[in-house]
Amino acid sequence: MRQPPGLDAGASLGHNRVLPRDTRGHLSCKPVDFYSSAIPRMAATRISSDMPSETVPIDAIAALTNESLQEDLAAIRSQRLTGAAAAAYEEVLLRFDQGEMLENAIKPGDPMPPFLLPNTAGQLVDSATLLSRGPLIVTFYRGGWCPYCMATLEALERLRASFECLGASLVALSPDTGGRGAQIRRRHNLQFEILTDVDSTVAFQFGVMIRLPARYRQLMSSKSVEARDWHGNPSWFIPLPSTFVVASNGAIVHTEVHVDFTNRTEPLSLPRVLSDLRVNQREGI
Amino acid sequence: MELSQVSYFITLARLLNFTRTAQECRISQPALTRSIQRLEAEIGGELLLRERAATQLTDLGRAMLPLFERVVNAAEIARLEARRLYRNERPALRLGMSPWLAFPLLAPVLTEVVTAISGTEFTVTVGSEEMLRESMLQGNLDILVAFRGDVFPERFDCWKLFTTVVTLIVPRGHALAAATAIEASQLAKSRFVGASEPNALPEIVLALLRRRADAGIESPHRANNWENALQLVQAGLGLGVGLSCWPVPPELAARPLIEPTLEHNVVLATLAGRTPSPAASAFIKLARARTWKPAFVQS
Repeated sequence: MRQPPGLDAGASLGHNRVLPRDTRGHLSCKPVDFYSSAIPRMAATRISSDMPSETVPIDAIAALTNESLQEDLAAIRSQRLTGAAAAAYEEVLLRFDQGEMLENAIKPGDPMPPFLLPNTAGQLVDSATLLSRGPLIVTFYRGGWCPYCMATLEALERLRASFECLGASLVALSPDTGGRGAQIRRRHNLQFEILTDVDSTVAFQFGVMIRLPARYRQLMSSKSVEARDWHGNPSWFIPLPSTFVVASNGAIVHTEVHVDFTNRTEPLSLPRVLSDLRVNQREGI
Repeated sequence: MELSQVSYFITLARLLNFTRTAQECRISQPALTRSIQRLEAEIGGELLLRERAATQLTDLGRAMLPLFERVVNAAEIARLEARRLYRNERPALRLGMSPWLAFPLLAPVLTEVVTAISGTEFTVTVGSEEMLRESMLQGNLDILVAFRGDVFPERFDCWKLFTTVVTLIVPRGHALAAATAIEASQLAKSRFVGASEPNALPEIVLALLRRRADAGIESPHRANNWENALQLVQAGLGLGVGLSCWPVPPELAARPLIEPTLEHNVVLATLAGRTPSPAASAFIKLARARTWKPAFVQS
């Protein structure tokens, strides 16, 4: 059986960054190994909400994972963003207005649209079950073909222990079918749930679905990435890279939407959002 | 794009009239116009020709309409499903299957559906693909798992699950069991187990083998499904024609046919535009999301 991926297993978290065992005793909370336990039929370990949030050393975690995603993204940009790929990228920026896309997306205070989606173990994961365990981070990635998305998922994996210590779970959704979610989960050593958003219906309900513009579709076709194979439909409806933090009562509390798929918010902001959420809930705000 | 924008466009495509669409969608006409314009900006082209006399769909509008209809329909199903609006009904899952596709393949998906969607009532119908398609058109089946993705009429939505190869099934002691793969030319003067239905998988393969391997291929005994066929091979009545995805008992050996290699796509089909029950919808999602093992590994 897989070792529970707690902070004690810090050495195995991407980029071989070792998280200290002695960073404030409270980090010894037992995180949940989502994968080795049957979902949705398991009881999660949670930190009780009356634990003072000050005891979760977010800044210590921040220091350890410092800025790594930005470096990774910059490296991919300098390598990939040339020729036809650069032209396809420009078309995306011209086509989609960041403000309008944020306007389309569900907003803080809105209820999260419920979902029921397959995970990589062939089980159906119900959003209500996830929320019954605590806050939820829902992140949409474009697909296993997007290197920027893969770097972002790896960065989220590096922070997974901190999400779990704050009682939150993380799920990543894309419209990739045919076992492609399982493939990237293995290849990038991701321990959180990857769910198949079949036909992008959940992304559509979150208001983050777009149709990939023509130049990009041609680019994908030239690399033999066909929507009919990857998604099981020819539409090329994919999500904008986006991340939502949902309180356990189902209300959205934080939204990030990226039209510019080569730039992402450093996911270090997420432990802070979760921590604030705990404070607010304790104080009844 | 927003669900509302897309829904407005679908209504407009049906009514081809801004005033009536605004009334039906209960929004103001300027709001409808703005919404359609934003959708057009996102799609990167005009969806409608706004002539003085009449509104018409552009080529792009016509191309996008079925894609939009599909995603709105899917979102509506997902919404109903997740909210369990029809929880009190017993969600039916009526599955049709080719008799030449091994049922155990689908067991993990079925088990998960029955576990996750409470009260699911599952029925399987095994029959010729033609009969199953007809039955589905009459509304008696939700899902069909079959081989012939190529012959489905347009009214079906069809997804390829995996590709499986034709194998020959021989008793363990048979000389051909020693080979890792079997060529058609090695099969002259062999006796096979055929199928009682002329268009069934074994008969199609045997017809091809007869053309390849000079002569003498006979099939006096016929089975009507994959399990029957394996039993007849085990009883020594002939060699079997199978698929790499079939589970094979230890007394038998399955060897891929080469020269020629024959592949079959296993497809999942549903009737387009029909709202599936939550159980059927869950089955479709699980089947499309998962990794299928196209070959059974004998222990």
